[in-house]
Parts: sequence; C-alpha cells; structure tokens
Amino acid sequence: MEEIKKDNTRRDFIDKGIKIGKIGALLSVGGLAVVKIFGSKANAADNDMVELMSTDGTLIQVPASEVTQVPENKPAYDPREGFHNRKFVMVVDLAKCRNAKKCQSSCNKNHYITGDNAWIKIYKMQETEKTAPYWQPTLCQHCDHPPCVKVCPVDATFKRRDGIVLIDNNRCIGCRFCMAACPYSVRIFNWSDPWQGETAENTEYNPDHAGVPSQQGTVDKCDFCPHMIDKGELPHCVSACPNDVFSFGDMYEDTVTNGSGQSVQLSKLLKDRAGYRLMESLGTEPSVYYLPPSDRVVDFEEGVSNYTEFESVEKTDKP
Amino acid sequence: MKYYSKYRTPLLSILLICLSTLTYSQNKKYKARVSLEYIKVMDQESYIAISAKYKGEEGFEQASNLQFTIYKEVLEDSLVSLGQVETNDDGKAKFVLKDIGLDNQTDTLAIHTYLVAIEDNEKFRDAKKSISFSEASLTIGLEMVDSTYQISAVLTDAVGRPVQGEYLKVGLKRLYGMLQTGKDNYETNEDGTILVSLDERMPGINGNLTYQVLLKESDTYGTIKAQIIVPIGTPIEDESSFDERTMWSPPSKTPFYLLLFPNLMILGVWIPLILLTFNLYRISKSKAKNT
Amino acid sequence: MNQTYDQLVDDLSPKKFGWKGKIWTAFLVFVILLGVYSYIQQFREGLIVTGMRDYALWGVYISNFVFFVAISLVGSLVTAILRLSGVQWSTPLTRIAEIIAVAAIIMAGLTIIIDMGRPDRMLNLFMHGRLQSPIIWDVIVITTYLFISVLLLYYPLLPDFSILKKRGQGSLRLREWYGKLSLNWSGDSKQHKIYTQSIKLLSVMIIPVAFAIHTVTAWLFATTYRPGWDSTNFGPYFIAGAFVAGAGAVIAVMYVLRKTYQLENYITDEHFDKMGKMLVLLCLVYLYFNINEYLIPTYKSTEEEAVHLQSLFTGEYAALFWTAIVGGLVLPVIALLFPKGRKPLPLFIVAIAVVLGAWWKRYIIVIPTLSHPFLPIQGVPESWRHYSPTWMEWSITLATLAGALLIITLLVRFLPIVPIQETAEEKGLLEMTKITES
Repeated sequence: MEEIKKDNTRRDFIDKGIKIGKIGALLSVGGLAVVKIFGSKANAADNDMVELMSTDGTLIQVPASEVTQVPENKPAYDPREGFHNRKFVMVVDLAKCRNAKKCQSSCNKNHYITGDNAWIKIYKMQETEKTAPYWQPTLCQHCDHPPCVKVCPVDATFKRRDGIVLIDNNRCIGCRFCMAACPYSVRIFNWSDPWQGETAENTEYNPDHAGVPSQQGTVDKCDFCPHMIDKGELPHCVSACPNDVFSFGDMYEDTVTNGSGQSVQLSKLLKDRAGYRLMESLGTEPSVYYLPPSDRVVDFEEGVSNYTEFESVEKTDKP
Repeated sequence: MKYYSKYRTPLLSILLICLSTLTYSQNKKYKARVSLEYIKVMDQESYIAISAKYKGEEGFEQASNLQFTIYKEVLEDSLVSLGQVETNDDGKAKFVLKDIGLDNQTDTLAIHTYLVAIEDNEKFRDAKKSISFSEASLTIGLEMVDSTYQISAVLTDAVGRPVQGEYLKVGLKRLYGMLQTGKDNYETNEDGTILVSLDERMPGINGNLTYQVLLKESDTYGTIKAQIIVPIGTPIEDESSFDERTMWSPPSKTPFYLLLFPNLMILGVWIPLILLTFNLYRISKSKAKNT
Repeated sequence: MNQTYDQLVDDLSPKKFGWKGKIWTAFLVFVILLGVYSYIQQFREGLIVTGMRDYALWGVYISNFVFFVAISLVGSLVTAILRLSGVQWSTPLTRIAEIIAVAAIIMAGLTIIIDMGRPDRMLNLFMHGRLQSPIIWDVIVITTYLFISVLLLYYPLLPDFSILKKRGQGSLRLREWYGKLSLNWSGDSKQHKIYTQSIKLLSVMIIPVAFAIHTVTAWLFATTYRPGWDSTNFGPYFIAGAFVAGAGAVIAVMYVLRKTYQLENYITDEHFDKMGKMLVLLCLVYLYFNINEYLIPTYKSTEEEAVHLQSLFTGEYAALFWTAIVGGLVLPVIALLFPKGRKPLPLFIVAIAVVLGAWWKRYIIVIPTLSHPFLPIQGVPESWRHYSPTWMEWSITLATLAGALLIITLLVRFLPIVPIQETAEEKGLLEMTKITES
C-alpha cells in the first residue's frame, strides 16, 4: 500500500509539473503575442495618423511618429535660369518600345500625379493603314521655339537657358492658352484640388520639381526632372524603362545616356539611326528626338495587352 | 512511460508552438544580397562600394538604411573593426579606406581582404561578404603622335612593376557617366601600357576635356579609375536664346518692335482719350456767354 | 406731324417701369443670382464643375466671350461709321447701339474672368504681363474700347441730361442727378464746339479700336496651330461676323423698346427697312467670308483639316453648323430681300434668328477644333472625347447674358432711348424753343 502511495505522489508530481509546464509555455507564447499586439498599439494610440503616398502609389495611413520630414534639396541655381552651359535633349528609341509603361508609372509616382491624365503617354500610332503601327512615348518636347511660352500672358511658363521649359504654379492664372497652343497635347490641367497626400502638399514648392505640390486651377506637364539632374541623376522615365527606350543628356556634350547607364555620342546616334522630331514642319524645334521603329527589337503586338485606351494614371483610393 | 505517452501529443504541440514562434520571428528577417566593389580613384580616394538588395513583396528592392560593419583581415583570421556605414535610399553605401598600407618591398604582392557584415539587424539576417585585392596604380597621359592626340595609360602594381594582360576602358567624362572612346577594351602590353588615338575632336566647356581610363572589376586589383583634364576640345558655345529678345522671352526681354509699336498705338489712342475726358471738364467749367 | 418740342421731350424722356418692366427686371435678377450661386461653387471646387477637360479646354465661356465682343462692335458701326458717313436716319438708333455696346463689353470682361482657373491671381496680368501674348493685347484693347464706348455714350447725353433736368418726369433727386451729369451744359457756342469736335474725334477713333478688339480676339485662335483655327482669314472673318451679330442685336432691341415705349414716331418703319437692308448687306459680306473659310480648306483637304471639316459638314457638329449657317445667315438674307420681310415684326423675328445663329456660330468656331488635336486622344476617360456643358456652365453663361440685358434695361430706365437733342435738331424744333424761351 505504501509503495503504491509513493508511486502516486511521484505521478502526481510529474503530473503537476507537466501541467505547470504546459501553462507556462502557453502563457509565454501568449504573453509574447499579447506584448507584441498591445505594445505597438500603445505607440499608435499616442499619435495622430498621417496620410502618405506609399512607394507603389497607394495612399496609406501611417502613424505620425514614423514620419520624418525630409527637406527638399534646395537647388543652388536659379530655377528660372537653369544650369549653365547645358542644353538637355532626350532620344526615344521607338524600335525598342513595347508599351511596358514603366516610364509612365514612375513619372506618375514621383510627381504625385493623381488626376486622369498622365504627363507622359504612350500613344498607339499608325500613320496610315499600310504603314507599321508602333508605340510612341510622348512627353513635353521642351521646344526651342515654344508656342506655349509665347502665348502665356503672365510669364508663368518659361524657357530656361538649359532648354528646359517649366511652369511656375504660383504664377499661373489658369487661362489654358498654353494648352490650346501646344500641338503635342502634353499639358494637363488641375480642374480640381489634386489631393496628393501630405508628403507632396507639405513640401516647399519649387518649379524645378513639378507637381510637388500641384495646384488647383493651374497647368502641369513634364519637367525633364531638373530635381534629378541637380543630383546628377537621369529623369525618372529614363531610369525606369526596362527596355532602354530613353536616352538623356547634354547636347553640347554630344552625349546621351540610357537607363542602363550606357552613353553614346548623340550626333552619331541620330545620323546612324535616322533620328527625327515630331511635327518638325510646325517650326517648334523640339528637344526630343525619335529613332524610327525599324528593325524592331520586339513586335508591336507585344504591347497591345498592356494598352489602356482610357487610362493613363492608375486609380487608387482617394480620400 | 505511460505518462509520457499520455502527454506526448500535448508536449510536442507545445514544443512546436514555441519553436514556430521563434522561427517565425527569425523568418521575418530578410536575406540581403550584398555586392562589393573595391574602387580606387587615382590621386583621390579608395573606397569599398556596397550595394544591398533584397527580395521583397514585389521583386527586388534596394535595402536602404542598412548598417554594415567593416572589418579588415590582419594576419590570417584576425579581424580589425574599421567602422560602420549605412546604405542610402538607393541601397548603396561607400566606405572610404585609409592607409591601405604597402607591404614591405618583397616580390610577393600583398593581398588585402576586407569584410563587411550585417550584425544584429532588425530587418535583415546576419550576413558576411568579403572582398580581396592587391594594390595597383593607373596613370593617364596625353601624347601627340604625327599630329594626332593619343591617350596613354600605364598600369603598375604595388611595387611598381608593369601589369600586362589587364583590360582598360577609355572614355570621356560626361554628365552621366563615361562616353567611350575607341574600342570596348584595350589590353595592357608587357609595359603595362595602352595607347588610344583620338580621332575626333570632342566638345567641352572652355575646350577642356576630362579623359578617363578605367580598370573595371579586375579579379586581382579591383576597380581603378584615373582621369586627366586636357584643353584639346572644341569650346562649347551657349546657343540658347535665353539672353536674346524673343517672342518666348520674359517681359524683361520683350522684342523691341513689340515694345515700340503697341505702346505707340496705345499712347496714340489713350492720349486723345485723356484729352477727351479733360474736354468734359472743360465743358462743365465753361461759362455761358450772355446772349 | 405737328409736333411741339414739349411733346418730343415728353415722348423721349425715360419713364418709370410698369409691371412688365418690373417683372422683366426681377426675372433677370433671378437668373443672375442662380449664376452667382453656380459661380461660387465653381470658385471653390474649381473648373471641374464645368464640362471642360484637358482636350475640350475651352468651352461655352470662351464662345460666349467671343459673342459678347462681337456684339459690342455695334456701337462703332451704328454710332461711328454711319454718323461719319453723314447718314441721318440712324440718329435715333445711336443711343441703343451704344448702350448695347457698353453692356456687351462689360460682360465680355466678366466672362473672361469667369473662365480663369485662378481668378484670385488676376493682378498677375498687370504685374507680370507679357506684351508677346495675345491675351495681353486683348486686355489692352478691351479696356480701351470700354473707355471709348463709355465716352461715346456719355457725350451725346450731355444735352439730353440738361433737358431732363429742366423738363424731365422723374423725382427731384433724379433730376438733380441729371443736372450734375449734364456738366453745366447750356448749349452755348464754346461748349458746342468742344462737344462736336470731341464726338467727331471719338467716332473716328472708335473705328480702328473696334477693328482691333475683334481682330485681337480672333488672334487668340489664329495664333495656334490647330486646324479650324489656323487661318489667315480669322481677323476679317470675325469682324464681318461681329457686324452681323451687332446689327441683329440693335434691330431686336429697337423693336422691343419701340413697342414698350410707343416710340413709333421716332423709330419708324423706315428705320426698320433701312436696318433690314443693312443687315442683308452685312450677312452677304459674312457669307462671303464663310465661303472662304470653309470652301478652300475643303478643296485641299489636308489631313487634319479634313477631319475637322467632316465633323462640321456631316459629323458630330453638322446639325449645329447647318442651323447656324442656314438659319442664322442664308434664310435671313432671303427673307430680307423682300420689302415685306423688312417690316418691323418680321425683321424682329429674323434679327432674333440672326443673334441666336451668331451665338451658336461661335460655339462652332471654338469647340469642334478642340476635338481633333494632332495626336490621338488616348489615355484619358472616354467622356473626355466629347464636350457638353454642365448645368452649372449653362447657368453661369445664361447669367452673363442676363447681366448684359440687365445693364441695357437699367440704362434704358434712366437714359433717353432716342437722343432728345439730336432728334429735336433734326426735326427743326429747336428754333421754336429758342423763340419761346427768350
């Protein structure tokens, strides 16, 4: 009898031990979870939420404590005069474009474009039935004889020394004459409040970074990214293109560089590939050169599935 | 034993729960893919360029704000910490190396090994990557042969011996990188030398051209860059219309005929209009003559 | 026919509004208030409340603006050109014409401000104005033309105000105001000399300014590359159209006023007949310009022009185009070739058709061109390919039209519609006055 009793105590002891161990394990696992959940909640509860645009272009709510205000790099030059001894040009290789539209989404993202009309659009072009269809990325041509600048009544749009045409959104009165004058249809209008989120709206405005922020009742367009040039970087569309369609550079240096970092001599490129400009006969003298879509790298049809006839800015949930 | 069998399942499940929580928190850390390059810019600085990426939700992304600790290997397996560096928004970091130090003058070339490590990072798993190289020097010069200019470059090792069989690129420094001159590569001969003739006169600010020679990611010597500024280019002329009076200039640079004729017309109309307004005043002030 | 001077003054003095006048004014004010409410919405929310978008970037506000500028030219036509060519029969119509001109040019200025995306920055036009821009030219000429028109309205009023002060039917306070505004006019030779010289100078000056105002407005379109606007014909084309619209407006207004104020002795059937003939002439001139504007590009049919013309002749805008041309020009010409058609009532109906046709013609000039840009319309919502004004846009547009009518109504209430002094001079009644008063 006593032996059985002893066995029972041992069993009870192990029993209790296991029970305590179980409870302890569960408690520690649960405790960790609880600490995690309530720990982070405690932080959030203390602060307001702030609305930002995430890296993929969606508007999200983020605790204000996580947000640090990044001061915009103030350019060390006059944004109305531009860089000295430079003349910026772009080359678009139509033989390589397959309508990936990465240029468009990168531009939309980096300029906080929230309207219905993108600043760079990839047109589905075909001059006539018997000639080849092709994709044509079209952006502001930064003309040397800009019809838009000629007609602006208040000097809100201007041409710089380095060839770039910019808009001063603090000056624009919204008469839209520049939009009527532009034959390339590259200018867009902010018909209502752009609602770009706090990052754009809290940044100090400078014409050399267009769209940060945009303003209701004024005109916007591609700016050739002077804010990137200032940092020694290529415009967003150039670096974003996966097919090296775009090359950008200084005409005086006779060099243009594509998104992969390859530089070529501009004059040779235009001669060898028979470069041309859009609507040359109008006399606008654009700064964007196109290389014809011959000896195509990819077929035109490969871009058709990506073609959105009625959309150029992806819709996200607006506030 | 009966107890163990009875409690085996619950015990195992608890163990699994604990383990899974631990591994789950460990799995949340990303694996960073690090690439290193040793870059020496002649007469300037030497540094290790770190580039870190990771596979995120939508493909590869740059690992920004990722801290690395840099070590130098001294005397086999012994590491000396040199400092720390953090990647920028583009996932790149640059750690400048000081006093690489030449080994004592022997025939064997000293191999320097550096190690970069991710340690105790919240977001990324611990990782190490090392890079080894020997020191070398690259000099660049301009020669004139039969009235054509030529760029010459000489590659020598740490003790001054010429290095043969390495491939150098030659080009012009431009706003975005290097514009290649001549062939893709030039192989150094037994004197460690290359010669590239400049067939075309290129444009440059004030006629100055910066020619660069580049040894790109050699297994032995890393990356070495050298450059020279020579005044043999065509001077760049500012062709912009910014200083001229044009139809697309700001008001301060209105074309003269536009300042002259419209203002003449405006004055031609408004001066009479003011006079006519004054006439109204005259009418009101004139006294009726007595009839 | 045996009319005395007193009778004449009585007939032509401004009278108080009867119930019809009051209801008319109230109706106009109501329309205007609706428009003000809509504009407040537009000012706050932006031009998104209109039907305009990035391709149809100009809409009824601009076509309405062009319409107002066109109507305003009637002042220079009737008052200046006819006066300078020695025409006597137009004298009773000069004041109506000037009133319409002033009302139209004021509303033109307001309409263009309504179209601005940032009217709060209007001062930029003056602080940072660029003489290279056609809009700045337009601002200059509109301001100048307004000033000239006001002067040309005011000068002939001096003797009339003096008469109304002495013999007018209004309250004492009103007659005091007439007195002040008459600037001590007594008709003596010195004043008369300044008066005649000034009016002559104004009449001469207003003609080039009127030509300038509509040429510059035409250049807002002609300085662009767009097919339908890129025309060397636009300056004279617009001016010819302006005279048509203005003549139609004068006829319409003079009919209404004649009826309302029983002015049959002063605005006779003869006046209608002559205005009718003038309208025919002006319509024919405008038809000539239209033929130039549309026939020759059709002959060539360059790519972009062909698309534009097709949309006008047989496409999206065909109904509007043909109604404006046929109903607003061709049928009026045919109707007015007959003397019966130039009787007051038929002429009034024709004039209304002409004015309505003129309003829609400007719509046809502004909007269809914007539907055919050089590059295809892609990457934007489908609704952006077609323009239709929203009810807010219509409300604001109708409010501007009501505003012009309200200005005309108020001026008609307080100013003699037919110039008293000049009419008296013409009828030889002034000698009698002098005799009776001395």
